[in-house]
Amino acid sequence: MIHLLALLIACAAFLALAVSMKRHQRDLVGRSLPDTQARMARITGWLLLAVVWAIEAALIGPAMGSIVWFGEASIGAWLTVATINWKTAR
Amino acid sequence: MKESLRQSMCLVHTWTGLLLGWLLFAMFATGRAAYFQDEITRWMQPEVTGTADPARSAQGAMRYLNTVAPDAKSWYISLPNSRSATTQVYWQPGGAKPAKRSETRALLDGEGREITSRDTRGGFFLYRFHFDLHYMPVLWARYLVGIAAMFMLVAILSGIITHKKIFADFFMLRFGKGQRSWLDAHNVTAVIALPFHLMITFTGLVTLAVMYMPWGIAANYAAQDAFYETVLGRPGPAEPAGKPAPLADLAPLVRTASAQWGERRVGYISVSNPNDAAARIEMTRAPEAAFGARGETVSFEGATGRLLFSHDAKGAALATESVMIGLHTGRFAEWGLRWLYFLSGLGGTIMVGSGLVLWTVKRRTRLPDPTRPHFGFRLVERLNIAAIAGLATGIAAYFLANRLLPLGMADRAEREIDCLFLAWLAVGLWGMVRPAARAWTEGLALAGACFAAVPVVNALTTARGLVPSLLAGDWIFVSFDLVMLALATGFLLAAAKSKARARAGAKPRTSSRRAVSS
Repeated sequence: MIHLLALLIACAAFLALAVSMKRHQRDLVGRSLPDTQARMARITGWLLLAVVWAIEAALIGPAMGSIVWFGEASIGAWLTVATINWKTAR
Repeated sequence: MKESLRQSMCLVHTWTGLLLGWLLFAMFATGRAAYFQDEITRWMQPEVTGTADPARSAQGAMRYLNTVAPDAKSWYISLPNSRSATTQVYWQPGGAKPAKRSETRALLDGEGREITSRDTRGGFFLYRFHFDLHYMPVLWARYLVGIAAMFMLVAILSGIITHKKIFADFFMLRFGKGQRSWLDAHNVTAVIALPFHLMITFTGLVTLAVMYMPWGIAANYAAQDAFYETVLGRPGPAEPAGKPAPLADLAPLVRTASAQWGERRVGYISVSNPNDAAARIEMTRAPEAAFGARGETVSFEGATGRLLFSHDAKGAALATESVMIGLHTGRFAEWGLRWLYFLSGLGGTIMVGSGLVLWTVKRRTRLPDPTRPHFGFRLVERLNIAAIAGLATGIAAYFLANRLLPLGMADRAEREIDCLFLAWLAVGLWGMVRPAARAWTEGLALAGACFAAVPVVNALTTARGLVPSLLAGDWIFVSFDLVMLALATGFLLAAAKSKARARAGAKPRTSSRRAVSS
């Protein structure tokens, strides 16, 4: 169950990273963001990725946790790509 | 003429990716399937049900071997892991002349009875194919695969340099824009699982490194066996004493060995000189229990069952190798992580496939006369069809053959494999004679139809179709059928897309498509 939570946080992390990028802002939040907010989004994204790593490392150890972290980060990124696609297709 | 680093890397990337790209595609596709090789095997042996206990299985295997080969030179027992239910046994006959391989191996159930299930090599074949290929000497295959993996590593590294906006383009996947879309698909699949691709390619080379680079060992040891004896601390097989002595029961020894490793499962047992006073039993930890693929081993005296010694791979280099192989094979992974491995492998397969297609898409616009492309272009185009649609159809045919071939057929397992390659060849030849655009549509549609047929044929020929499996909570069978349906959907969608494209082919490329804001 907690792995599912970690996966959700990984998705949120990549969504935040996408929001921090100029070219995705209009699709995801409907307007372009000022630089300070974009930077906040970027920091949030990286922090959330760190949180996911910490969860997995605490749960199953740093070695196995890192492997799972890479996998969950990939899924999170895929879901973000899918979200952007869905948003731009409308 | 001054070329920038990026341009030259782009050239390297294109050609290393293309030259062995079709082989890499097959390696990626079957290697990805290998993460579920035990589950695939279970699906391909629908008669086998339940789980098996290692100690009971070991005892059963011993009973079996004592009846068929009591005076063999050696026995080798591969115990069931937590995902499989069958025991594999091999033996080296005592006589001077070597026997046929198929006569010195057997598949047993958890009680040591020979399995009366259909003869199949199951998921194990897909696993072996991804580095041993088929119909050719294993040694050649492994060198070929090694060269391909080296090309892959070069392609990945040069790809990173080529792709200058690697972070800016992280999430870019634009559909319906021709070449741009193919490039996006290639980049996204490559970048998102980049750590996985680097890891899998590099560790893949490591698994066979000693074979590719034997000189380090050759310079220091007279024979390769001497090297393994030194680093693994494992003495070579003893000479038989010639005095018969019955072998000690294996079940309690399996429990002893397991207890030594904190209740981790025993994976393999090898017995040298069984039923001889000089018999030696060696047990190796199952690879599923830890990262390291080279498990700890314990040795017992065969006749008495006395624990002799336990040994472990020594030294940092060996430990590194062991962990790298473990990472590559993912045997330690539980189901959640196993799916992540599988999905990353799927991404890798799409990356290689889209890269191959991209080669033609990029060059088509530059052809002097698009209706009459030059030979090289046509060759790549046809090989792409054969590799992608052909292999997919072949794998589906392999599963269909498992359900449809007569159960009593001679060499049935080999005939299943032949079905895979015949279907692959048929699609490949079909792609040669048809116009390319139609061959794509037809090949992809055929692959989709074959995958869709797998759950149907399974439901018709066994009692373990999707609905009964769902009711019984048999997740292996349910997942297998669902993956087949997902693959079928993917290929049929691709076929529909390819058909729409072929129809729009005469019109200018962009006008027929919905404009997507970027």
